[in-house]
Amino acid sequence: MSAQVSTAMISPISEKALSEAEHRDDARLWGRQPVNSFRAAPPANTATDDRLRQSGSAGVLEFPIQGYDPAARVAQELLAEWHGYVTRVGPADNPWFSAVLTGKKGVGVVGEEEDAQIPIDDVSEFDRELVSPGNFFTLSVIREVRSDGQPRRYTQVVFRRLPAYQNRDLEAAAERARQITSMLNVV
Amino acid sequence: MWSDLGRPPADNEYEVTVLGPGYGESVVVHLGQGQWLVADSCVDTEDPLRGSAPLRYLRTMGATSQQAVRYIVASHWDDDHVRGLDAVVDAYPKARFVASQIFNEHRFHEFVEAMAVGSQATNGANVRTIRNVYRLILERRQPVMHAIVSRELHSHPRIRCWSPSDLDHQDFAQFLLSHIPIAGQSMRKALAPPSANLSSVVVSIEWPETSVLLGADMLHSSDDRRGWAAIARECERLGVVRSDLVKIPHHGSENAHSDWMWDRLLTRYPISVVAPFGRGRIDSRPPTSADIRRIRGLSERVAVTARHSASRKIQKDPAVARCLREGAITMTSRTSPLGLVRHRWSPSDSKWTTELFGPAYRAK
Repeated sequence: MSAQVSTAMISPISEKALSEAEHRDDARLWGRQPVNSFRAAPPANTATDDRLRQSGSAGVLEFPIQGYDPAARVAQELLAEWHGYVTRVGPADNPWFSAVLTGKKGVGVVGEEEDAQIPIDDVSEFDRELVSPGNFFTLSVIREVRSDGQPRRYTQVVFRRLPAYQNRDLEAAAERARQITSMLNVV
Repeated sequence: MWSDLGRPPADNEYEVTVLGPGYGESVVVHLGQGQWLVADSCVDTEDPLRGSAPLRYLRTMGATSQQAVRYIVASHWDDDHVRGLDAVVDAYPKARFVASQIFNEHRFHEFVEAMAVGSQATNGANVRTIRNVYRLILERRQPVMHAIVSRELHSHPRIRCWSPSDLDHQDFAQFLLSHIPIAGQSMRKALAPPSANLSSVVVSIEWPETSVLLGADMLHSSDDRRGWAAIARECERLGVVRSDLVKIPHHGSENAHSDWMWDRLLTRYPISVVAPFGRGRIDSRPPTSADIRRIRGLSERVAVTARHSASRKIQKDPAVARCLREGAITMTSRTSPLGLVRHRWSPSDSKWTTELFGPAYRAK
């Protein structure tokens, strides 16, 4: 979150935008995919908010909200999404990782399996420790339109934090392995 | 392609059919008298059911009885060699399952069972097929055989295993030990190490008139206790009939080339069959054009099951494709066409005849 202070009207729309911003941060923290549907905070409403604020219309209560920038309100659309897992991590001087991807959303990609090479730069610092063979992530291509109408497209890699192996499960697995090897009919 | 395969082999005909890539590679061998051997499995990615390609081939050839397949060989644990293998084991419960000794050791199953913990979250963790194989084997008390260097699996024709060497076996076991999940680690997919190729089972089949070498994914190593050097040494010690037909190892890649194999295990200018690798960047997938040139120079005939260029390109939304390009993210489809190269030997001809199906082609 940025530390800047901005002013905004309390309105159903701005509350929604705030809640979504929090949801995105929450999802990021827990490794969930933050963008999974079309979310709109229509620029027109933002402009209306700004006009009202500038005119100082009576009956509108204004007060600053810490860390909230109305210009950051965006409409986002998920253009394509893949679920993947890391198969190999490149050398330190050429940082990329290779992965197997399965298309989950997007024209022509759903259900398709692809091999990919992805720059590690695309992974947030928070997730870098997870770039390791066998680990799972989601790759998304997102289109967003900022409140000033400026569109942009970008890719986003979010790693999934799966549950940890538990001792009791691993002990049970070892026991099953013992049973399998003892029951094999080796000739 | 499947409807053009023609008649099954006669009882006195031998056959070696290489299928691939689709996803993976497989070799189906008619040993004679209606008996078959299957080495590895692949799936036809054009088939909506993604069924096992060797199983479909066998059924097309009328090999439907449970006794038709005598041996099912799992050359090594890599996704592009085991996919669909459970369906083959399921269809032929009388077949002997042949795999390197590590497959039947506790540490392998401990690794597989541990990786399978939380398999819903990890979508099977890449161990689903091999678990299915062993579930079936245990349910039916199906016999399993260790592929040990120089072991004779069958006498007429003589089927022998030539690998993995002790050192390659030990290395793979070490990998398993060091990658068994431990409590507190996040669940993940199981991945075979590149060195798993050295743990491949290489098999020779010797009939009275001819013989073949199935090279699996065996690699060259500068250490003569490993890879092709170890195999060649063992073959020389015990004596092996040089093969006049070879399934080229590891998709014809440079790192699988071994002068030992060409000089000591094969006749001069044998018939070579290559199953291309169907994954990764197309320009780096083996066999490259340089690999094909090298194999042509050493062979009488070269047949390849498919061209890389025949791989289907996935048409993405232009905006998505542009965004991925700008982000330096490259993607390559894993959907490669499946082709078949079939060689048959009949006593009347006393030579191998080549037939090509689907995208397969003659490179020489």
